[in-house]
Amino acid sequence: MDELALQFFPLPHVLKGTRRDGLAVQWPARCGTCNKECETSKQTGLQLCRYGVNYQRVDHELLIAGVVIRDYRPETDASKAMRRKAGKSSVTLKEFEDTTARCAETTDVLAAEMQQRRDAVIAEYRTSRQYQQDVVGLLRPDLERALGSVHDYKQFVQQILQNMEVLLESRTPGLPIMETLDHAAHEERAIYWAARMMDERLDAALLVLNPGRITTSVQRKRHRLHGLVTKYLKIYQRRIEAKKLHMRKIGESWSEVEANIAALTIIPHALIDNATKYAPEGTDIHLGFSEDDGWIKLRVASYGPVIREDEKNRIFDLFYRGVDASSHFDEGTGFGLGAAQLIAEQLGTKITMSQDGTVGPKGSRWTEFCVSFAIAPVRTSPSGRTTIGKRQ
Amino acid sequence: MTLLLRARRQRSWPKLATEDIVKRARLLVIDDAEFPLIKSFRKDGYNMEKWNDVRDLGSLESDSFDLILLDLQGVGRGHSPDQGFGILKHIRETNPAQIVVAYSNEEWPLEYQPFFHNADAVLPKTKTDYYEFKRTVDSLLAKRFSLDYYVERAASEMHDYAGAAPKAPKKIRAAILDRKSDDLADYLKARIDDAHTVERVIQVVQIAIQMAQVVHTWTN
Repeated sequence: MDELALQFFPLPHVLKGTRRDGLAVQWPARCGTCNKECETSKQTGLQLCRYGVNYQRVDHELLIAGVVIRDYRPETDASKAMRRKAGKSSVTLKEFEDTTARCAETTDVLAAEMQQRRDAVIAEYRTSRQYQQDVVGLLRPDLERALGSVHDYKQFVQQILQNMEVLLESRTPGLPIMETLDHAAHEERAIYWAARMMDERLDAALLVLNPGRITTSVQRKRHRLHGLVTKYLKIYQRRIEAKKLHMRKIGESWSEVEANIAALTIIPHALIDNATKYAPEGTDIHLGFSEDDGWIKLRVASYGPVIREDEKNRIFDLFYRGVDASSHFDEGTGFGLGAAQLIAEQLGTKITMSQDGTVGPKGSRWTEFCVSFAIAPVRTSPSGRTTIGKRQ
Repeated sequence: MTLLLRARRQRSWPKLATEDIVKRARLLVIDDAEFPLIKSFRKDGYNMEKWNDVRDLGSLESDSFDLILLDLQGVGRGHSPDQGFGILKHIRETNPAQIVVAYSNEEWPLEYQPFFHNADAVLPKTKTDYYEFKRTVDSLLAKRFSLDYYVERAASEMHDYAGAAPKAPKKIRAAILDRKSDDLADYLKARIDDAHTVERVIQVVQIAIQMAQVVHTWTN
């Protein structure tokens, strides 16, 4: 209940432990020396104290008390005496009930307004960079503990990848590694791509822990976004085949982006990983590229779990999983999307999500994730001619 | 006539074919873990040695290797608390013409990132396949056996003094081709009031002269 509004409240009351007179009725003199039964009572509803004065608790902050209700029943000797003393200061039961009802109504309205204001502040905080930093700060000790052996993990991954490369390269000398994989046995491919997936996960976790490294110039390179996305699509091949998913590439992009490539690739990977993980068996996944006004837009769309209105912002929180997702799918930690959004923001962009209401198998919804990357700026070739990052 | 030809040959820097460079160059990998790609490199004819740690700091200072592939984590603990970064810095200080490829995972804190600039190339361990490795090594080796590389390296040692000695690049080139650095040293000393800088420029030129002699021996 708002303190300011209660200044105009007609009946005596106790607000947050302080007794205040009402605008029309003051506290009876007897209440000044009583044992404050009304304030300590745990009873709800309209009550009568041993001195014959009525009271009723509205909420944990507000107690209406010091009121003499002349038609309150059952009567006691004390209440009869108090009614005589109060004279015109007493009120009828109906007047009391009307006043408390109005008060409860106002309390509800104010509470709703307060909640709205609180929600707005939280929503604003959620979209701020400070929120991401605070979340990472809170999670840092756990992440650091979990990644205590990250160097060892990276070494294992390196050993697997390089030994596989030596094996494949010696079998088909001169062929690029990606092509040698086409000639490899299923088991070899599975080992190679599992190691690549592990490497991506480790990179994402490391970058979340050290977001400053995302923008460091040491790792800054130019690269075609289309190539970056499609190069490692095979990581998800096993899952795509197992679930009989149809990956459809829509549109194209020849332009380059300039960024920390290791960080940037985590974004499309998180979106593709998400789509392949949640898409129902036999459904489509759209991987779209388009270019417009200096930006490359990447779109990953598929059927996925229902995301409620109040979850739309939260799905990008680290370790948050939507209600539908967590109740239907065991796989997933809620780390991928959060990490991708954090990296996207460091790179000056943002991932957006929308569901258009199209219902798919098992109650799933058509879900689209979009993110745009700035096309690398014009650069001057050694010959003095300017080129933009485009294949002509 | 023979003398004239010999003199002209001496004034030039012989061009080596990539196969010759691969055959002649000495490569060193310093990595505390296994380096499986060494098999592919050796199969392709590279002369590659592997140390699990810094075994002999002296040979890193004395230009014994044409290219060093240095893991930044887990090596050099006995020499520097900064491990590979400390070794990299030491090599840069004692042997300015040495080519070093920093080879590492990416879990280094941000404060270490500037150290990477001491390296001629940075290759992330899990993101580099054999062919990218090979391309990087080949391109750096081609530089290592080229005159321009030494001229650029020596000139870069002058830092802020470059403006005070505008003819230095030309004189560095001449000193390497003539295989004597006296004139260059006199020119620099007259214009640069910093003995250490002059010394480092001359050090690079001396390395280049030795390299020129080696390359001539190979081509004759």
